[in-house]
Amino acid sequence: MNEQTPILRIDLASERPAYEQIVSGLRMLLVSGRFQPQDRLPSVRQLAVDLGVHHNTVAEAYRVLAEEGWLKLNRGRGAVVADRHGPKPTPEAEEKFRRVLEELVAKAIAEGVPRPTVIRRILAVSRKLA
Amino acid sequence: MVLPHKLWIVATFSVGLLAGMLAHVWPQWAPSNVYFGVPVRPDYKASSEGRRVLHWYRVQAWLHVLTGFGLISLGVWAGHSLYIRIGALWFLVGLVVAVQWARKNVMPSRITAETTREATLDFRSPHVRGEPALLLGPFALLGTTAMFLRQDWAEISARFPIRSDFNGHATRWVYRSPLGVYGPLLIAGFICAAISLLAYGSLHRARRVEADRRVQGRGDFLRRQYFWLIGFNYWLALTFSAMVGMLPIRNSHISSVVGIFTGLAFLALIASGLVLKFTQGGGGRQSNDLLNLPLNSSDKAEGTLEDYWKGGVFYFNRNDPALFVPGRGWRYTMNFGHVMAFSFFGLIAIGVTIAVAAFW
Repeated sequence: MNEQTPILRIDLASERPAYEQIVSGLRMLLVSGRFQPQDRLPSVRQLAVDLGVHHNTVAEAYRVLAEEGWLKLNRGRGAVVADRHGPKPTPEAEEKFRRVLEELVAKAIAEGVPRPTVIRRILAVSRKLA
Repeated sequence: MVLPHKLWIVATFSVGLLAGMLAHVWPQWAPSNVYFGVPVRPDYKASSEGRRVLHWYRVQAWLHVLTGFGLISLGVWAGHSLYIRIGALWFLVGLVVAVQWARKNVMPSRITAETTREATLDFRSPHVRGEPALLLGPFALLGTTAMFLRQDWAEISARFPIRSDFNGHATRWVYRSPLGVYGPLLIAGFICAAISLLAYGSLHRARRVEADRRVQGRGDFLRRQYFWLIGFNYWLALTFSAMVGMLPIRNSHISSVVGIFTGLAFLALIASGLVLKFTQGGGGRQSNDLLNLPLNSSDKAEGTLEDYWKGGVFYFNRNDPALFVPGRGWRYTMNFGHVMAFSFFGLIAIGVTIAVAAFW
């Protein structure tokens, strides 16, 4: 029994599609180093059963992460964490990140989150995932 | 083996008492935020309103249990099957009425159920060593018995009893025919197939519960349930094989001994099943109490839209690939919308239909 085993959470009532939530959740865990290369993830069917979604939803999420280089998919062996070397950031990726971050920060401030809190949170998340 | 009349009545009352006790304690087994299948605040059960609902539910439940089993006992004593049927119906319908009354009174305090689901991301192979052999063994036993009967067909009586009254006198006879002889094996085959589906689903199609994982490490309740179901399957195959396999032997003493052993095995199975259910299957509260865990999403009213819970306790979701999901009264409940659930009930229905058509 491993108390540190990561947990993936999705919200069935969310407007975000389930597979996107699975991709984001797994990506966050992969980026933060909760998994090591060669670690095996639950099979598509088992994760689908645990989350109560169609197995195609999980399969799509695994496929997206495999395309990003995070996972290796083997028939019969399931999904294995790949030894991924981070890609060089492209100007487009940085521009996209800047845009998304600006929107998120603006929304937070508009909803009353104090600016120092916003900055503190961004720094905390960066440290956590680094 | 013939039991004295009084013993039947005592047995009936004992079963009634057990049923009443189960109905009495059942509402307390659900997680603290589920009450009669309704998601509520965790402090609702202990509130004056919650206690009032529980008190009057218990009064109704006991009234219906005692009335129902009183009628059944009367039927057993007088030898009138009508009283037995009315009593059984009264008991079942009465309990449903009591539960629905309680639900109706709890509904105004309903809260919105959580819609989050969580999954542990550890890889665990659900396979059990020798699983195909375990699942197919009962069928091999039934098949072997069928071959033995075919070989000794001439030794079977031209007519043999299949039902007796309480005094041990045969009331229904069947002729030596393929259906008469092989029919019980066929019935057992269908029921074993249904149980095998549940066993398979326990390992491969069951949602793993977070509290289980922390208490038992690997969702052991489901594996134990799997082995219990396999054990039940073997008992069923053995019992039916013994029952029918005795036909060519025609020795009532051996039949009695076999009957005693299968009866004892059945009691042992029921006892072990109850122990398993009560110690590990009875509601998320038990695991939480053991660990002093705060409520987490896996113990919240099953993270699902309320629409999927019919009558508050029956989960029906065709889009959910899990056959067993966290329940609202027990640790796990069946997803009645799953194709394996349909198959399970279909197989049971076929077995019962053959039994009724051929032997009633």
